[in-house]
Amino acid sequence: MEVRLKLYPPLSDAAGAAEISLEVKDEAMLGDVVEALVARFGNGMRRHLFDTEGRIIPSWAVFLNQMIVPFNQPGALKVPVKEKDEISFILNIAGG
Amino acid sequence: MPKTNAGSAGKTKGLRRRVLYVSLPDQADRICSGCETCQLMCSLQNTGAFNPKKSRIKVVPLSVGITIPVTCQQCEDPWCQRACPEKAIVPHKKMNLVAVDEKKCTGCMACIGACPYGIMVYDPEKKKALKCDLCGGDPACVQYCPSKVLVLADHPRSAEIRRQRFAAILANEEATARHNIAGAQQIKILPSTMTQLSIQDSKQPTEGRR
Amino acid sequence: MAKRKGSYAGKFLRVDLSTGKVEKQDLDLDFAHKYIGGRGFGSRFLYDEVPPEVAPFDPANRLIFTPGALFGTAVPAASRTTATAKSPTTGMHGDGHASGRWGAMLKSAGYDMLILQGAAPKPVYLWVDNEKVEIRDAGSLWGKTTMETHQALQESLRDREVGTLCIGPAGEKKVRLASIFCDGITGTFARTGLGAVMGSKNLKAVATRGTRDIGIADVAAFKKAYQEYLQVISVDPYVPPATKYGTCRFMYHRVKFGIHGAKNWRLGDFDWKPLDPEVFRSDYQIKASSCPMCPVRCRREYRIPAGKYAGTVTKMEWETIARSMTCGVNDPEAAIYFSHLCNQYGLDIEGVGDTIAFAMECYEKGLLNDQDTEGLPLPFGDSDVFMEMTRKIAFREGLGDLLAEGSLRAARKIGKGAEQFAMQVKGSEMSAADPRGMPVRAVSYATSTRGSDHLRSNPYVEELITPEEGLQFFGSAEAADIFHGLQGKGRLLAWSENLVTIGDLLGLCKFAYYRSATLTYLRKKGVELATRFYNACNGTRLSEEEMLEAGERAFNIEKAFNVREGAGREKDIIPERFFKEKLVGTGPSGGAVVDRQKFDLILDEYYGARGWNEKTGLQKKATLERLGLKDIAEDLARRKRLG
Repeated sequence: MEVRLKLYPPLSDAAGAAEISLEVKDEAMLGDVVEALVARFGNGMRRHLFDTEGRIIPSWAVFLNQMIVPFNQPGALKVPVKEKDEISFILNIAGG
Repeated sequence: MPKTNAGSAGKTKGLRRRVLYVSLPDQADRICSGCETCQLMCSLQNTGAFNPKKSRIKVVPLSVGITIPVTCQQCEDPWCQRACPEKAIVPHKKMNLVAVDEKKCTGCMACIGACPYGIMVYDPEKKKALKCDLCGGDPACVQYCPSKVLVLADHPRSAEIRRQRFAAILANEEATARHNIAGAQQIKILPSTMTQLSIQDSKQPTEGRR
Repeated sequence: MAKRKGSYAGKFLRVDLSTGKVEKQDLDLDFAHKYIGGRGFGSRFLYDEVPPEVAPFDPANRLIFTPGALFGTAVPAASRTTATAKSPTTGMHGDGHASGRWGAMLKSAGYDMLILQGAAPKPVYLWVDNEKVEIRDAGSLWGKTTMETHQALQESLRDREVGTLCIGPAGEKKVRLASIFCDGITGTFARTGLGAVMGSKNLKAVATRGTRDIGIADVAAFKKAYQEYLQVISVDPYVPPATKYGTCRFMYHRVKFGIHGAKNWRLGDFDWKPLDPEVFRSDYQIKASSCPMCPVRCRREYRIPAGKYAGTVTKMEWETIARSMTCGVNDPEAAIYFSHLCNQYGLDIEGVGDTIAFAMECYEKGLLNDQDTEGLPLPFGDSDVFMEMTRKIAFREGLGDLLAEGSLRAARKIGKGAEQFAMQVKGSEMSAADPRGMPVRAVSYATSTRGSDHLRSNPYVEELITPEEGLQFFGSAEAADIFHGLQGKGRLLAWSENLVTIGDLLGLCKFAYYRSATLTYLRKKGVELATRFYNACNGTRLSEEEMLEAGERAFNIEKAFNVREGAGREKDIIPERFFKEKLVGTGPSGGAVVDRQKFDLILDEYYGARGWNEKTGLQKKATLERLGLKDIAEDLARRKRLG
């Protein structure tokens, strides 16, 4: 099924686009979306999502439609996604 | 053509090389950022301490946001060598360039006045002239520049290439003269080599720009 | 074994502007290795020399400049200098930190600290040229903007490498929102009214030339740490957006979380699109610049090529965009021009932005009328009004004379309940983003020792830790939950404050060391490498715990200063609006307030983690003694201000 991704830097730079569509299996979870993103764009994408130990970087905040799913919360990667869901990846670094 | 030490050294030691600033205007982070890391790593390499006054490479701020690193162009017929009354600027033993012999230098500053690029440096403590000698072939500034805009380039023998470089420098100066800034602050701005700015220029309405 | 001077210059310089007396004192290396530098030196001397009896504009107030301990070396992004004084806005500890080369010049001239006291009888500037120190007439400089002053000094001193500090017209007029600027508009000691203190001393500028070496003990260790630093920033996803957009990058996060704080901190949503980072990047930026020695390149200068503000060239950072939205303005050129005006007049953008927004809301609610504003309406979103009020504040004209006192004092003068619209903490205007819906964010604005300051309190650690790390470091997995977590948040805040203080001791930029995408990268840069750089430069063997403790020490000195001025728990509070009014917006914080109970619970845990009395927030004797501050404990005990 198709899901739509909105990407912000540096992911948008790795993908070469700010909005893309991804094919994932039916009954996919957010973790599968991450895997599909990395599978499509390779190491340039992986290095921004996983740290040097291979762990998912906690400071990504994903907005599934309008619901926020911070990646540093347990079960974040297991949140299910549906056909045509809009998933935004924003680096959860606030500041000023 | 007058005889010089430098000319004869050139034949035996291969191509002349020098550290050049090369920016890629379409990449906003491949332009000198003005961080001056090159200056401190140069002084560290040469003196074991941090002191921008003793750096052989200088970052020149032309305007707000415009910084250009300049250093010795390793001239084939060096002005500094010709000007030195003590014969203290001599062919380097290993590399194809001239260097300051500190034992002979008296700090008279003739070389500093002679260099057309203004890159001879005066050591305020030793009171002697300083000049880039490419760190023995692996320049510290090139190694440590975070923007990777310094390269160790071969001195082009081709007159045509050197003519183009000089024309590009003059083109920048000409563009500067055409800029007219409105407002209370009469800050002169030189366009960087960024293509962006020249595209901006061509979009501007002609009124109010002179 | 004799202690090495390392990267220290080796002397303190004290100048009395009343008498003209110049004193030089050798730097005690034990003192240096205990207090490190930057904020550590400034806060200690301020505590020792400015008691409660001295008011901010008294000649006896000190104005102290201290480059970070590593400034002048090639340690990446070690290029910040601290300025310290008793603040005319808070009446308590005040400081600022700026980029710019002046601090390295001071060290190259031979001094790790410049202490200014007294007041000159007429406008002067200080000229420090290695060992030569002169107080010179500044009559021809008085009235000039910051950039004009910087250029005039370099011209008259015939040296384009001279470093300068100066105030603009705002500081001369003792505008409480005035800043001190470094090297023209290169850097600014923005907050807490330091520019007004300098103006009260009739000191227009400090010009400095230094030609001495700054030493380094262990070049190999330095180079190794340098390579490791470059390695970390090459993998940290925090860095590419910083290089790509500069500080404009904070917009996207603000948008998604709906925490703009637009129209005087009422609206979470706002029409932000004209201020898209892409717009600044493609239409206005000159290039990706760096502060000295920094490989991140997140500094920005902008040029407006056409239109109403054509020809404007200035430095602008995120808080200008944020404060423009606080005033309802969303024109990117207006934002750049506002930055230009504040830079040239010598004003604190955060303070001015929030104070104008305060005035706009007072006007909206009828607390200010057309007579008060001399016929000038003050609607939100009007960029001409925004600029005009900025100018009026700088020159204390009309309503600007009242607003130049800052939003809190202006509110008290206006009366009629205006205080509820003054968005300030301890007298210093709000910074960064709206805290509603995020409990520890709210507390962090309250606990900073210099008024609202996200840079001092750095609560953002909660965003990048896992629940496991929350449990391991802060005693609870909840510490990783931005919206609902309570346990562990107080401990997180205390640790985070000590962490970023290290940066202010060493002169490290917070964006280069204290922001990151993971806790591992953060600790690697901000604790481990920071300590290793210090040791490599100075031949010392400080442990990471000792470095964190040095951070804790400086923070406690500032807290003690504030406590001695009479501040207790009641001053660790944020504007009522955040507790009472729901944030209007559609993001995750939409409809939220700051829950007072949660606020207090986190504050209790924070005081406990700090070793302070949980009820009063006053420091305990044992804590101060543990930090080697026994004399401060005794001073506070005499004044009955111990917890």
